Amino acid sequence: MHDEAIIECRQLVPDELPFEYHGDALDFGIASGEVTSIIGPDYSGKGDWLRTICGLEDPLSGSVRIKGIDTMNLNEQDWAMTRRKVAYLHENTALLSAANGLANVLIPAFYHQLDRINQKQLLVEMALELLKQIDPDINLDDLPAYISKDHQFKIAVARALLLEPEVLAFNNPFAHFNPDSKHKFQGFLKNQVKQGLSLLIVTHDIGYVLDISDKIIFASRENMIYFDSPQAILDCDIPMVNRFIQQTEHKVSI
Amino acid sequence: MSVTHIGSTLTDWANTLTGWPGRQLIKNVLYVINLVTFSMLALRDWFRKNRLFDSHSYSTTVAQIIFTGVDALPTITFLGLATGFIFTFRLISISNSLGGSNDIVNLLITVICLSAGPFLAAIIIISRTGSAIVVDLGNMKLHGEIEALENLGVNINDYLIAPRIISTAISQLAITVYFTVIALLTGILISALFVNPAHFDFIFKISNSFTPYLMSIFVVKNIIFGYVIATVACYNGLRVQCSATEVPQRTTASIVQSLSFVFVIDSLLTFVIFV
Repeated sequence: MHDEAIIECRQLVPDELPFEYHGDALDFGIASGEVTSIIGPDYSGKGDWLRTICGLEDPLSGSVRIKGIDTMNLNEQDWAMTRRKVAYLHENTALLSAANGLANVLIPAFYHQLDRINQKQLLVEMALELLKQIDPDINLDDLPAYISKDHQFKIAVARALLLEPEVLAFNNPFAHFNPDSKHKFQGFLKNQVKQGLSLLIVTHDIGYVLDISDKIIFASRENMIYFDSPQAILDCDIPMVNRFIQQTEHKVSI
Repeated sequence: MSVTHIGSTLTDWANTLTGWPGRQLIKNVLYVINLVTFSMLALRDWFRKNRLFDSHSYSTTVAQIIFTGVDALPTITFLGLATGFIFTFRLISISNSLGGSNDIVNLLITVICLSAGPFLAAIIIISRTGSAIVVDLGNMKLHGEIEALENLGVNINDYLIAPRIISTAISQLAITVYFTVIALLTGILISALFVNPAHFDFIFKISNSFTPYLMSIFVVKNIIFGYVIATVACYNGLRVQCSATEVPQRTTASIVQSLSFVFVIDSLLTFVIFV
């Protein structure tokens, strides 16, 4: 499954970091079916790194290539293509407040004219099937104002997945979940990865990161440290990383 | 305070005073250039995507026309009836003292069809549709809905902006046609029923005098009004950044700017056409 990189970062440093960064630039790639996690202490700029890796913000130095296209100075068509290939969602990703749950899932797909490829009815069925897999209890007839935060997030995930992205990038995806629904949602993501979807996740859920990740990036204000496997981060002897993992695991056990 | 100091202070004031009109002029010219560029980019993206023939974009445009045009009909009807009674009826009933009926016909076409109609329809659209567009887009921006759409590769220009501009321009034209017909017919009918049945002739006289040239002025003027109102509203809606208090501020700014633009454009067109 792991082949040519969908996202390729070379000597990357984001432009929007809220502090002065003097650490190493980031060199890494995300291939099909790979899971890359970014962990680290609060206010270490993880979200900014994620947005830059996804091509949503211009880098200060280095480059990001999505499907071989440099994300600096994208034209309109390339922008639409990169946004469909790399879907970015944060914990409070908004839905269209004037459209119900199902319409929210379908509107971007209609905009991209996917109903010309898959007929309209087929697209609706695909959306319903996707939503059923994520959570069969979501009320799709309600407006977002009447839908709970975790269901809103799941609808946003379905909306992104209907566009058939190759990478799903999450910033703090489990913020609104209770333990049970989180477990089910994590299972759904694992299933998607088995089918070839790549994940790029910023999260504090260390257990999940160690369980699912192929690569882990530890972000701090001082430096970005890249680990090519979960075992590598567990075996490392960098005090800052060890302290962070121990603290996080301690919090989870409490 | 020394004489030199007073002199330099006075010079500063004079510079500030003389510089102020220039700065305001540059600011306003740049704002107009921004608006024109903004609307042109939106329309370019819309046409480039062949949105004219896309059913989803078509339905967005139609929904906006229904809100802007059809839902405004009761208000427009009321205004049309009132204008018909106040202006058309009064002008026709004093036609004998004013001169020939041809003068009255020209006066009605100029006042009702080319001035009052477009202007009152523009005021209705500014207060209803313009403000609604600013609040709608402002809240969408504030709540991250626009960002979420853009992150999914949706181009806001052709999905949100262009349909609003196009439908408002069409609605402005349709509403003015409706308003003008009601205002003229009301005045003529009341005048014919209560003053002189021969005044029914004004219906035919007006329709015969409404030349293709006047018709094209009528169409162009209304489309420009609608286009400008929607552009100003969309532009202000998207200028909302991060606070809920910005939404009413931008709404007020949009209403004031739209009214100013309508006055200025009306004056310019009147000057170009009639002088």
